[in-house]
Amino acid sequence: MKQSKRNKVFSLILATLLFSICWAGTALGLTLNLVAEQATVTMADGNTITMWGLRDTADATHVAGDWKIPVFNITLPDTLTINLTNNLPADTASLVKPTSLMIPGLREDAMSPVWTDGSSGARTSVSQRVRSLNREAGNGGGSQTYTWSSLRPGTFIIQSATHQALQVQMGLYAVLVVHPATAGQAYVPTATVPAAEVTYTTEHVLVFSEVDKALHDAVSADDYGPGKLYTSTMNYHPSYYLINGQPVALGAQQIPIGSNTDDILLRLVNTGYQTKIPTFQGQDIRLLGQDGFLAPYTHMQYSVELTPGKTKDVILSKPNTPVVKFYDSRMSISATGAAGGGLLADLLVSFANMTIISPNGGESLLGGADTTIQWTAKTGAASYLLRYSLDNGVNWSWIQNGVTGTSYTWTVPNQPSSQALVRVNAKDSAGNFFANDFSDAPFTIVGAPQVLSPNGGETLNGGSIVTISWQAHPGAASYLLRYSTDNGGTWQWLRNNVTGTSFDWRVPNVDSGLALIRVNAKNTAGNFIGNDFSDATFTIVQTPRVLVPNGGETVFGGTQETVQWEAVAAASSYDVSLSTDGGATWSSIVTGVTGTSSSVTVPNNGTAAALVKVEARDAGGTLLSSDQSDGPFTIRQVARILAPNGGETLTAGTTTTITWEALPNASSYLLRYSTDGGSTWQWLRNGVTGTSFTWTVPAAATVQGLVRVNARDFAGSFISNDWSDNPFTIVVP
Amino acid sequence: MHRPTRTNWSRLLLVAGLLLLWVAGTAQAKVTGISGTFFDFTAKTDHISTGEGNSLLIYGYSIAGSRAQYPGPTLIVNQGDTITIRLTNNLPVSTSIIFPGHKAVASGGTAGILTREAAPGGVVTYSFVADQPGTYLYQSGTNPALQMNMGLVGAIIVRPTGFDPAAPTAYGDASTAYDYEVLFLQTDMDSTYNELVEFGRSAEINLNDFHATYWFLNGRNGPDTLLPDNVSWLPTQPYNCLPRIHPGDKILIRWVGASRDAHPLHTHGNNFRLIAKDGRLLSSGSGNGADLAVSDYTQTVNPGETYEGIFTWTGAAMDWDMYGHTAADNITLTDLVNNETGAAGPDGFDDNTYEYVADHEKPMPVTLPGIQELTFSPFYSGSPYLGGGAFLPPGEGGFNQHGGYYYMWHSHNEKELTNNNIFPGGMLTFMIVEPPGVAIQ
Repeated sequence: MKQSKRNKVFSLILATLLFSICWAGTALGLTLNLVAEQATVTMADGNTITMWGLRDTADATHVAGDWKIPVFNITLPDTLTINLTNNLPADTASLVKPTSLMIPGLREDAMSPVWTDGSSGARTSVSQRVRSLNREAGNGGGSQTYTWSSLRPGTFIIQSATHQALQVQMGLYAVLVVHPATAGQAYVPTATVPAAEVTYTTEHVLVFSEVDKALHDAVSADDYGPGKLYTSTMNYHPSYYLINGQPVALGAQQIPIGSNTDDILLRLVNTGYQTKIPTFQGQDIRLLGQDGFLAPYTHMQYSVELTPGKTKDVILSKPNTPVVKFYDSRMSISATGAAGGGLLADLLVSFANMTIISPNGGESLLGGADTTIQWTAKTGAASYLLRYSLDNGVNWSWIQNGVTGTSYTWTVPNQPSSQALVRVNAKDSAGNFFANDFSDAPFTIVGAPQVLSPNGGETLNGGSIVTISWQAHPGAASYLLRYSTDNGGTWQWLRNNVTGTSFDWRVPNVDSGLALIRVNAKNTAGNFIGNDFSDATFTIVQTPRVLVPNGGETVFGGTQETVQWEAVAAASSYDVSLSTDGGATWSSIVTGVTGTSSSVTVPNNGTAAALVKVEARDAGGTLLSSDQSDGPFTIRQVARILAPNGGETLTAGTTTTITWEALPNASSYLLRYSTDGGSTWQWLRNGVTGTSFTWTVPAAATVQGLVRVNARDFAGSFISNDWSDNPFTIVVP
Repeated sequence: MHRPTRTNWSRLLLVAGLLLLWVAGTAQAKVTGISGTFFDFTAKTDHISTGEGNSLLIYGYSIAGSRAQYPGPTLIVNQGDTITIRLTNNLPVSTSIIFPGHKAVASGGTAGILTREAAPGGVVTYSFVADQPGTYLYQSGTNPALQMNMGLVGAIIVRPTGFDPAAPTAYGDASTAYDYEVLFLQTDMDSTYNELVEFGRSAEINLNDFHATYWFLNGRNGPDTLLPDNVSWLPTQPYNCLPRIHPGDKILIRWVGASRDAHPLHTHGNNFRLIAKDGRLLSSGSGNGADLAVSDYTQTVNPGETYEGIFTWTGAAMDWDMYGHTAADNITLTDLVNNETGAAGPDGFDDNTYEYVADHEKPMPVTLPGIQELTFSPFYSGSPYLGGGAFLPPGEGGFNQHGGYYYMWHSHNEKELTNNNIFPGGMLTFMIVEPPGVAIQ
């Protein structure tokens, strides 16, 4: 959806042509006249740091005394000659300051070390240690000439070859970019790395370095060296991290790198002493090679390991974003310990035409949530009109007119669509439209919060527990839940301030075929930001909801218990049945009950899986609905007294047989009797096994005699208790 | 020769034979995490326990009202899905999330240096398309030098299009097939930072002055890495780091550098094949698979970067029978198919147990010392043979119930095997080779 790019392409061709002419090599050789000298750089916090630097005397923009990192370009088959003049400060007793140059990875034609005694040539004494890796220029204006007649394409560091631990840190380095003969290529293509992968349209050098203020201060004050305040770089501890030597303030450095149609070659260089991991947020780069060697194969990645002294060449191709966030993943993104500076940059990408950045197609946005519309500026625009379409551009609705800047926070309409677009029109100061772009492809708007269940068609039993679930709504802090039983005519609150995306709902025990659930999303301020209800109505059936026993109770076999339930409006009678096996089988207890409770005799069958079920029937006996206990209850089986069980007349001194029902898990029984209707109990026998006992009736006349049996389990605990249903009589002859 | 293993192993073989059919068809052990397309994060403070017994304040991500966790939840998503993460900030400072390797769009909150941020009590939402499979990092984008140290990091695993849990691959290509996978999210911590934050002295923190005192795998120090997931006494450190395989199995290692320093993770037992970096396959071109994979035994895990390697262990060419078989055992090996490809023809390994055929019934070339001459690790089964076991002195051993081989996997920067200077700990765990037939969850 772009305007014509013809002009842009034409200028690119022109630029490339000019570039080619300029760089067409004729082995003339490049000669540089460099001065090594003391300079300063002032950091954003006001600290002025003493540096040693290399200055190209032909560079009129490089004022003596200012420190910067020179970058030199050379095109093959040219050769390189550097005339170095050493204007570093005078030697002190603890620090001599000759200097020299080398290019790691490229051999200087006459490279030769200098020993600590100042001599060169063959080493003649074990006391000689190396001071310089190459021929020196003495300080105080001494000079030296270096020649590199064998170069290869790539990115290289020109650096001090003398006492590098100190001199490189002090700032004696520059960057050499060697171009192959073919303009616009980073390297010579190979069978496995085609020309397309090494071709670029613009290039930038990004140098990462560090400054240890304490070290620089010590050198400046002659406090550096053995026995001095700062003895060596052993204690190196950087206080500043720099990109291209720029002392930026806290925040991201702004670095323009090209346009969104460029293939941008970035030459990454580390002249510091710590590893960096430059990372491109949201962008892949193609890693071409390192140290001036093209890789056998290139690789796409978004981070680059850059060890000290390393150079790596990467191509960032056609970045479709105005700002590429760029940072060191080793978190050298601080300055003197404070957050937010250092190796942190916005790589700025220019856009020739006004372009929608986002949403630009393929996104999934949630209705009711905020999103950022972002576009690139149009030169000459005074303001912008923003619109959206839900039908792939047939109809357009206004978002906002008169927007300044290049982004806008848009509350996405809660109108689901898979054909959504946004459109930006630029207006000049007279209010006339003069540029226009819309999303390259449709994006999706998802309605939210979206009720998932019950969402229409379900039949729910009144009084049961049903899980309401919905899709989360971004921006929501909580939800209000409501239900309707009249198709949305009226809404009853169900629960407010629900967090999460589901809720266990006790369905109201009413009859309705027109029920709906509604979810409103609320933000942290409590304002409604999104809303959805069931796509279609669902049904609620009123049930004779069992109230007692409803799970968890314990009742005893043979006792009378009351079953209670809720009324069903259309019912004329109810049937009650019992299951002792968790609902697998049911047996009827009572039928035709007209109220909402019934007293039933509990069967003497031990179970932990008992349920009761109540069925509501109309006058014709048709089943309307039913309900059963929410959970199982327990029936405790009882060892019931069979004899004497009431009404007998026993004669003192005679024997009678007490009998009782067996209990499957009983190990023994305790027998007692009472002559006062159960107020007090006398022991008869403990530890009885079997289910009968021959009792010699005591000489205690009473008309309130009872016998009692307690069963014990194998641990000796009582598990059952029963006594005679009615009193018997004891007569004393 | 004292041969305590034979009967055990014979019995095990029988079990193994029965189990193999079952194991082959089950879902494979995979990285623990949460799946979906919408994730509701809350950043808040909590504490972690370190291996030597310290307790440190952290900033962590939590989901669904749970406690903060270190690292944040591992997000397991599908290629092509649009992922939305809502971040509610219950920290006392502003925070944000960045997603290296993904083009994330932020909405809500306020503008920050790397992305939009949520102020304390605020909310910000991020959305991105998980357009390429692989392993990724997510981390704080606000003062990350401090907030990553405080714990605001996590991993994202993007399953390739067409992912089949029964036959998983890392990148959809057969060269990236694996049987098991394990996450190695590597973090380091300068506990001085945590202490200064806890004492309200954040202003004294010097971010240039990072000096790690703790090193973690998936948020735990060794030896806590060996414990199961979700142990009750590490409520804010739910993930373990315990790779387990059988001989011949392929395990995909997913390394994530969420640290400040680089850490070289060393695999004992065998080399791995490095198949990808930054979620991008090491490939010479589309359709060529991981043909540029390299073999190595130490992976430098750089901050902010991710890597994937496939490791396997067979015990081949040791020149002794690792099961301790002798002719008297009368065990015949079967090698009719290639175990890896399923193609007809021998590959040098038994078709059922992956035993190296050429070493079958070869005796161990040394005389084993008596137990009175040994000191014992809790991981020694009592036998040098895989699947073996023997009587151990009272109180010795007991952690190696299947008679597996324990190989230490650890940072090769040996000072990182400590917890605040207490050895052993830090970036340390074991890879266990279990005998065939042992169920691995």
